[in-house]
Amino acid sequence: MSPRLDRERRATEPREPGQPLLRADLHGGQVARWARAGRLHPASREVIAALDPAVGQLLYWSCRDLDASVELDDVVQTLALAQLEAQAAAEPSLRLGAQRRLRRWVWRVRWGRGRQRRLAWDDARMQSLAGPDSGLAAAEEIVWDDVVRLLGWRDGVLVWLWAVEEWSLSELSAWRAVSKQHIWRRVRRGLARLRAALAADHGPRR
Amino acid sequence: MSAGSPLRSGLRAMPVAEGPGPEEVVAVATDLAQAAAQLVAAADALVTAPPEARPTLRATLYRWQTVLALGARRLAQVGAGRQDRAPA
Repeated sequence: MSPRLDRERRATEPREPGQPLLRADLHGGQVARWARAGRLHPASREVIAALDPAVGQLLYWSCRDLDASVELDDVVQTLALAQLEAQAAAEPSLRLGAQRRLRRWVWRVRWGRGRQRRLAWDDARMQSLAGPDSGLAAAEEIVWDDVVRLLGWRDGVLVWLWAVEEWSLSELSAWRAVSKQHIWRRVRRGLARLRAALAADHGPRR
Repeated sequence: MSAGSPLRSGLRAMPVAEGPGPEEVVAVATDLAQAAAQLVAAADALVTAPPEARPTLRATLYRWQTVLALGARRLAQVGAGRQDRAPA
């Protein structure tokens, strides 16, 4: 097996909590690349290594939708804090608890920057999407019952397993014995219908 | 998205194009039967697996448990909907 394939295989294998976070876990050594580019303080790398592996994965995904000017050290500190809060709250899923807290922080950052920098920023619409605690209330409150009621079982279960349970397209494809492309089309169609329902629920965009 | 918190928005009240029919119940039942078979296979493998293979097998068990839980929830939802529609 090639070293790259071996890294990818190891990165997707589940581990017991407390096992060390491999460099390959963070999607091809993204942390190492950030460090080489001078975007991560050495102390942040130590914090990342101490994170629960499932929570550590959130760093990469959370930074994908932030622009390049964001301070990654801040994201790392916020992620570590989110993990501690989720642990203290004894959340049933540590990863989901930390993800919810981190997403609220990212949302507030994006909101602040959008208000400051974008011409067509609709503050009232953003307010309607956010709950009283500045969380992404509408999206966070979608539960399995809503997804399956709107999309039906076939599409609903694919969207849920892909978006929430983090099944890969390969795994879904193997389960349903259809191509990955077919699965991806159905997932995208389901997500589009969910987005449309959320948009309709919050009224037309001004 | 979360697993079970109450929904404050009006999404739950939105009409859907078509309610669950017998085809959907069959699809759920088929998937549940398959998931149950996979769960049993994973559980059997876990009993005799060496320690290093157990985390992977436990994760596999959890995945099929998730499918079973989602399917059971959907069947309960369909059943409740039928009771609501049944004539008094």
